[in-house]
Amino acid sequence: MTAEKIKINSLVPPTWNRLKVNDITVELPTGSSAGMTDQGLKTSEAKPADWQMETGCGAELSAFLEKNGTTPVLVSNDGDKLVSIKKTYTENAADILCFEAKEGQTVNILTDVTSDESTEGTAVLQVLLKAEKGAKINLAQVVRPGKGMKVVNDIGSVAAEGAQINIVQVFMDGSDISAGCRTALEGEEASTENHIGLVRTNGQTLDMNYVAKHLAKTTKADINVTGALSKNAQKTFRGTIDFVKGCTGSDGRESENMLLLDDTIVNKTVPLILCTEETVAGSHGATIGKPAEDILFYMTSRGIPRERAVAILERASLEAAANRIEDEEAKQQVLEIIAGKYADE
Amino acid sequence: MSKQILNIEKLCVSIGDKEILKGLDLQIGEGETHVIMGPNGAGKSTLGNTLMGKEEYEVTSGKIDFYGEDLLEMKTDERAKKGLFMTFQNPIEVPGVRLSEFVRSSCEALGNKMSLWNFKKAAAEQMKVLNMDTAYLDRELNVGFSGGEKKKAEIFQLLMLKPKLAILDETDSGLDVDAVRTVSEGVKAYQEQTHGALLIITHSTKILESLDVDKVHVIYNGKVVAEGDASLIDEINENGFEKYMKE
Repeated sequence: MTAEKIKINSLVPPTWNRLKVNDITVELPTGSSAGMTDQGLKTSEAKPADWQMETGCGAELSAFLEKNGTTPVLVSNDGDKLVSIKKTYTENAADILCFEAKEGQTVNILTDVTSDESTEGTAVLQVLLKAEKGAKINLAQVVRPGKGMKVVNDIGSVAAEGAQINIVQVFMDGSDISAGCRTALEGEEASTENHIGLVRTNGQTLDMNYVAKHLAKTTKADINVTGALSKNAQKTFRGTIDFVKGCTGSDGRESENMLLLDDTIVNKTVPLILCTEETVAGSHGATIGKPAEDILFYMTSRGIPRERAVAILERASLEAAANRIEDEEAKQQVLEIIAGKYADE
Repeated sequence: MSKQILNIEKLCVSIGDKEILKGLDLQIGEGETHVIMGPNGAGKSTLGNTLMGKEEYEVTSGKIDFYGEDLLEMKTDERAKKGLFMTFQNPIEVPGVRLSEFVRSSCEALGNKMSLWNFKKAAAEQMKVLNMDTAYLDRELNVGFSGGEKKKAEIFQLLMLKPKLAILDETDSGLDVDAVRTVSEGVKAYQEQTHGALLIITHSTKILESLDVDKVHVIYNGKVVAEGDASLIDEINENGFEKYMKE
């Protein structure tokens, strides 16, 4: 099996190279077959021309997938009934899944990817979303691969007039995860929300690139990250709110609340607000993270052992995101996954 | 004389290069109420944090025994399991963790595992003492709480965890008269329910009005410079700490 190195999660515009946050290079195996064919999904072939959109991971990943022969698959939905995709990877895989919400429709999607502890490889999942006028797409994702499985989780989405795209993601377990998400708010009053909960520990890494592009008037974007880092974990979060000329009255926000559970971790945050329009409101509450030592002292002073206190805080970080899932069935499933992880701790 | 539960001898504590406690001695008996008074910077809160085992407080010499065991050998959670508790001067906000979840986990860690039903019942009883709405149980721990609500939440934990010795670190600071009264009633309820001992670190004396104080210790410059019965509180109220700062 051959592999190709590509750059993903590129920051626009780039900053100093020495900070090592401009992008990340990942090595992806070529010839990976589709992994989601066993999911029993109602699908049809999507015309690639209809689904050409920018994604968070970026053009090099899309070009790689095209070269790899990974074709986009349009997943049918049954009204607002949850489309649930639960995949346990057993080998390298590459998929492009497309979802569309027609005018006024609500589509709820849950993807949950994992792998056995013994499986080694790389999985690429690209999800493309299109919400027509007044439509709503609620996407919930759980990414929890086994130790040997690397995951690239990419999203591209487009929201038309008055459309909403709400994305909740929970990242836990595994070794290296790369995640990108880009939403183009093309229609007036279109909106998007991202709620991300993450736990990285034991040398695990997570590299993220999130972009909300305001292209029309009175659009709204809100990107929130909560998480906990410990034991040599590394996390990079790039969050870009991009106000394009003409998007008057738009509002874009991003915030991050990271708990730093010890001093072995690397936590990088790159909040960006790009603005070529004057009458907009943009804010970022991103911080470099909060050392959790005082919180841990408080919790242990009540008799809770340190490891249990850490588990409580990690779980809270993940649940903070999961509780934002709008579809009740998807929310309960994600909360159960989180509860399962911490059941014995 | 009641059975001694805490024995501190010649305790010296530093933070970084700065020595804060410089040979402090203190003994507390079972069920007794002791008050630590002293001007700002005397080392009162350092004593509380050291007893609870906060990392940056380095014990350079001296000893602390709690029920005959070396407290300095124990981690913070182990100290709590032995029956030590401290209310925090500035209670920590813990986003995402509900008050109920936190206190129930604490009870469980201390060996008092309760069903959800029994926990809620016990919590409601103790919250009644503090005029607290049980809706607080579902709120994130101390997040968005006012100063008074945070202090009430601390006393609520005291009532639920029932320690053998509770250190109250400036629990009355920043509270209005009504809130001090409520907190004071909570502390009194703790004594009645558990007959536990108290080490009250305070600047003011409002919180002490409804409590029977056994001994008052005045700390200045890292040492106990005066001790006496409850009458010492009145004297300090009248004359301040100036007299002890000269000694």
